[in-house]
Amino acid sequence: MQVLLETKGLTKQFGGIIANKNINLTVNKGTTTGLIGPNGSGKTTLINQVSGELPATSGRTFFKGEDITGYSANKIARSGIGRTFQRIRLFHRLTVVENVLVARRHFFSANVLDIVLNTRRNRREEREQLEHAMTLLQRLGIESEAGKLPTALPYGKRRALEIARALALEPELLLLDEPAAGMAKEEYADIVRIMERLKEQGITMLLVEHTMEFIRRVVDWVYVLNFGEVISQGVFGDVEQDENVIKAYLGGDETL
Amino acid sequence: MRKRLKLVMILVFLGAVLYYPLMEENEYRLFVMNRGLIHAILASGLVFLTGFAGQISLGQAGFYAIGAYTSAILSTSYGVPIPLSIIVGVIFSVVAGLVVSVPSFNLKAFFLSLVTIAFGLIVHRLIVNLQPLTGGTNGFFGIPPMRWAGSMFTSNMHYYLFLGILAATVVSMYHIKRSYLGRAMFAINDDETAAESCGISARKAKVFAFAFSGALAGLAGALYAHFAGFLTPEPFVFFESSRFVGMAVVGGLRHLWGGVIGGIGLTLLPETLRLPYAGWENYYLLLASTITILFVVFLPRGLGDLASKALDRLWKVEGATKTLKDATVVDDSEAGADDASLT
Amino acid sequence: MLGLTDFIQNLVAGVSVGLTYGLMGLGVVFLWQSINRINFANISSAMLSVYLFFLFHTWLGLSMLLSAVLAIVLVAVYGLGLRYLLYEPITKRGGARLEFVVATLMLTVFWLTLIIAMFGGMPRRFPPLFGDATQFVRFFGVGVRAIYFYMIVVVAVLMTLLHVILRKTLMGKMLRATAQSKETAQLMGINVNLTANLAFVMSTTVVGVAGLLLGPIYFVSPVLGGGAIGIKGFAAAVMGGLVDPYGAILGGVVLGALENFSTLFISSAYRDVISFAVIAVVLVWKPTGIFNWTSKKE
Ligand SMILES: Nc1ncnc2c1ncn2[C@@H]1O[C@H](COP(=O)(O)OP(=O)(O)OP(=O)(O)O)[C@@H](O)[C@H]1O
Ligand SMILES: [Mg+2]
Repeated sequence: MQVLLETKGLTKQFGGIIANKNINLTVNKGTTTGLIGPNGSGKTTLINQVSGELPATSGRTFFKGEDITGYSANKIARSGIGRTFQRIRLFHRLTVVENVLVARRHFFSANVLDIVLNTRRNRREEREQLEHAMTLLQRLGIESEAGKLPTALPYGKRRALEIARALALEPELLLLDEPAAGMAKEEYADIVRIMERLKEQGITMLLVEHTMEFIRRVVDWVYVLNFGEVISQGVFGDVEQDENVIKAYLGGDETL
Repeated sequence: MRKRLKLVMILVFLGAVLYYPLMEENEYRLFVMNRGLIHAILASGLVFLTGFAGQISLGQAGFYAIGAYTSAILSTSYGVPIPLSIIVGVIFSVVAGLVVSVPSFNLKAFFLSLVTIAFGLIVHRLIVNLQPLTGGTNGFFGIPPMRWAGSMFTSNMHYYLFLGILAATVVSMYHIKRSYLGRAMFAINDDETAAESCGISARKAKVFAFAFSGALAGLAGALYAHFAGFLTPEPFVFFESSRFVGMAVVGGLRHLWGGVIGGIGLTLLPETLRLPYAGWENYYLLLASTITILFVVFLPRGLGDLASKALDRLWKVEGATKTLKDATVVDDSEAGADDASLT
Repeated sequence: MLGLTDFIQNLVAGVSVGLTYGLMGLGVVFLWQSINRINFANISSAMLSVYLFFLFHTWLGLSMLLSAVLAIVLVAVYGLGLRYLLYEPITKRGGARLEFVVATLMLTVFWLTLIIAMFGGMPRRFPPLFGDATQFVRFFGVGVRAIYFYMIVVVAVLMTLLHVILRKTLMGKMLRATAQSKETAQLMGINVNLTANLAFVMSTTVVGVAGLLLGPIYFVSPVLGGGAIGIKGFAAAVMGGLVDPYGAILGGVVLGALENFSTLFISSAYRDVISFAVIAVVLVWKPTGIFNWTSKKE
């Protein structure tokens, strides 16, 4: 199997807190990898390091064999890593479809002059990208909201929009930080359906989630973090039985 | 029916704008209007920088001065043809814009405003002190006027030239706003981290915004130099910078027309208050600044917002649903008043 | 070559003028700490106090001391006006920081035009509140101009007072708690409204005092309400990271000394550029301030 993402000894320190400690993680192409662990165990920090939002204290990250450590977040995004955020982050002054179009930036070849003069090239590209964005919205079932502002959307659809926006990059790897958190029942079912569809399409994912049922259903391989360290990994069925994992969760206030 | 009303109104407006200088008998009023057009060009740049991209500049008079003095010095002391000297003036302002954009990479908009004040003051100080080059406080005189077919520009020709440039500015901004560039500006204004995750380089977006607004300010300055015929450091002081920001805010930062409305409006305002009462001469400026403060306090979204809402109501066709094309039009009026980057 | 006496005299001049910059910086710090805003009309308080003093003494014939006290009291009340006539209405209408920035910028213009309309643009003689401008005081064996001596004394007294208020009284505790977190302060039962009033009043008052101290140098003139002096207060405050009052004072002192020696060694033409450069360099290089002991402790 082909390795898509690999971290080697990734470490992140905030003052006295070591949020990630010597993390070696591998994500194979076409698989869905889960990241679980108690609150504050460093899951978001790891996602942020991979996506380039946070610079690593030490260690390296490889994507498609290339060392991407220290790249800016936007360069990493363009090289094929899309992401969503634990707390949904949308552009609230742009409409739903424009939110998606933002991430299509690098599929435009029109230059400033084309834009200012609104040349045929610019109009054609705008049309093509708009169609593409609408198709994406359709895939996530929110095409009817295209002209609205994100603030007018219910929570579940905002999350769907955020995923659509990440997919607009045409990423090879999708990082999802608690995609199902805070969802109502039907919204949750929608998200699970979306995940399964993405899996079918062969999109590689690394996702953080607290809902174990969710992990069981969509994840092929899971890493367990505790106090910034990987304490266990494997298929979920095995990890679930791991004594270290049970202890870590019992220490916190969550249960498997 | 409503559609026709809109068309008629636009035609009447266009006709009035084009016909205005022909029926204006008062040369001074036309002069003020021309300055208003220059200010509108500059204030549009600020709308772009602050309203679109979320960056503050309180040093816009610095770019204005660079454009003005560059074009003036090149054409007067070195005999460079005016169109070329204007272009060089714009280029110099753009370069200054690029330099000023560097601190914006790491600074919150608020701290940035202090750096831009410093920039404006440094430029002003240089003009005052580089006397052999700029004439210092004595002023720089004998700047050649623009010419058409051998004869000097009349007030009317200035008017049409400035109007044309302003129109081109607004049209350009309209296209940019609806392009990937405009979306990138709005995106970094709303949420820089999210924009980066979409592959948008916040740095590049800021550099572009500063360069664009610097270009417009430099262009306005260069036009002003040849229009006025002489330059003193006076119009390039810090208070002019704040007046420019005032124009953009009063006009409406989030509106394409904000700079036009504010630039012309705030230039004409003191003049319309210049009433022929004895002893009043000293007070009209006072009243003008009071009115500006009242506008900012009581109408924080600007006149542009007010106007567009009124017009929308006028020609809204009942029962019309938003089409796909409408979907891409940014509806600023519903956006929150707080810009993420400004708070 | 610079003799020791000259050196000391220049140092004293720079430091004492710098102390007044520090006071202006304090005006910025107090407001930033309490409401997270910069009042760009900060410097107007200096001009107002000088003109009020001039008005009371020269026009109304009150005694100098009484005029000075009245001027400062009015400037303190003006601080409340700033809050209730400008800050609150803007906030209530959903105006954000930018609106406050623009409104206070326009306020600077407003005060300048008002003063020029009433008193004209020409400087007027500053009544000798601190004795004759040419008078010298012997200070550790060195002759120091009396005005500088007064600057040092007044700022020292004021700083001691502020230190006692900020560190030793309940009011100071309230101010500091509010500065750190409004929510927590509210939970602790602190009257946030009162502390905001205090911050506004203190902010205009210290700048008003700075204005009176600068009177002998700048005279009664609109220059005292202009951007070139105003920026020095911002530069001082920025060195203290906008949050550290002591840092702002120290920042002002450093700035004053730098200015004075640059006049000596470079050229007076570029004296003002130093404060602009300081702002640019500090903000780009270390936006949290170079004399900032407040935020490090948190
Ligand atoms: N920017 C930061 N500065 C300082 N400390 C931080 C920062 N971000 C995270 N931390 C700390 O690092 C640790 C790991 O945080 P992280 O957000 O990665 O945990 P998490 O596993 O995502 O938790 P949760 O399940 O609550 O989302 C925590 O102790 C947190 O307080
Ligand atoms: Mg997290």
